[in-house]
Amino acid sequence: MDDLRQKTLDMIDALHERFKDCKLAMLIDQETGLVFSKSSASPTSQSIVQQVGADAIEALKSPSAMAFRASANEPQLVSITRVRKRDVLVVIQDLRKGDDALVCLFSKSPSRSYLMEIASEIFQLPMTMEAA
Amino acid sequence: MPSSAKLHASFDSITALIDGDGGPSGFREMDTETACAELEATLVNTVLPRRITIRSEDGVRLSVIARNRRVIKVADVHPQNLWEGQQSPQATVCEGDYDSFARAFTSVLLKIVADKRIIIEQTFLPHALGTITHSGYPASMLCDHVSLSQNDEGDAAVIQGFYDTFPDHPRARFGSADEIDIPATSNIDPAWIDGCVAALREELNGKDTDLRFIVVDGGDCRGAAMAWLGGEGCLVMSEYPDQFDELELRLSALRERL
Repeated sequence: MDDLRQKTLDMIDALHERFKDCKLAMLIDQETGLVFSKSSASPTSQSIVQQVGADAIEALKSPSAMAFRASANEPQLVSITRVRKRDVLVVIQDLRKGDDALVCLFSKSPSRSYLMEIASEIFQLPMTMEAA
Repeated sequence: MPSSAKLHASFDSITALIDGDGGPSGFREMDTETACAELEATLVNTVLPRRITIRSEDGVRLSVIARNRRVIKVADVHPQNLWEGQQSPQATVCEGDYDSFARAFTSVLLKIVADKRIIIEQTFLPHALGTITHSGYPASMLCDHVSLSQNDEGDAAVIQGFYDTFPDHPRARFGSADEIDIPATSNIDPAWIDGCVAALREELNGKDTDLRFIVVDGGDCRGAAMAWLGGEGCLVMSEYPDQFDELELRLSALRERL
């Protein structure tokens, strides 16, 4: 578990490294409520982390997002971006891997394709670790 | 700059009269910037109470009471339906804030001066002003607020502009206009998009603004941008991943409206 935690945090570090505009990144396991999070330069308060997590789950479970998912044939990966006045919230979920969601807060919209690549690697981690 | 604008205006008026361009009525053709700068200069040079009126040749006018380089009251807007403020022009408190006063004020002004021959008149007040408790709108801010207003497209126009940018995409417009438009080449079911819009309406109830982008990747790939500003909304979809970046970029450009 510690190993998985460390690897996940390393991946989130890599994400911060690639996206200078990333203010906060976290991996949420909606089933267990477990959260791995890392913020950039300044410390982020627990209440902000909780609010971002709540916003992310609301975005994933919103009726329009559910309707959209249902429309696609064999949906695998869903990404939801909420462009807000002060930040851009991006939530990515691998629908094949249960309830894990990668949640990132950016100061401006990131390159989505690169973010999806990193997200796929993060979602692969538990499988890779199990295989090892 | 206001005092030089005033001098420039006066000189212009004199030469116009000498050349006969001004005509006996004194209405003069000016571009929007010049007309607004002249009104600003007139107001900035008003220290003792005056009624200042800017009128176009077709009878549209805005009349204010100015004192001490500030607009302290809107006396008259004709026709009155030009005024877009929350309260009547006369009841609106004149202050330096764009949203509460200057937006409505400059909006009327721009309608009066747009491509028209105008005149700016000053008259003394026939009655005492009475007690004015607020400080008034600083005249020196007028041209800055005019520029802001010129870029201040309404929410409906912005949403319609976004929607119109993607004529070949499956899309829906909701708010004051209701329409679903699906190209013949698309596999999107109109009933499904209708259901999506219904879900969005419910989620957006009570919200002023919202911008979202969603992508579902799998057997097929679909992306959608949703924009909602001041009760006007649209949903634009794509089934082609190479179009997602453009869609997302255009959506992000609306962030300044939030």
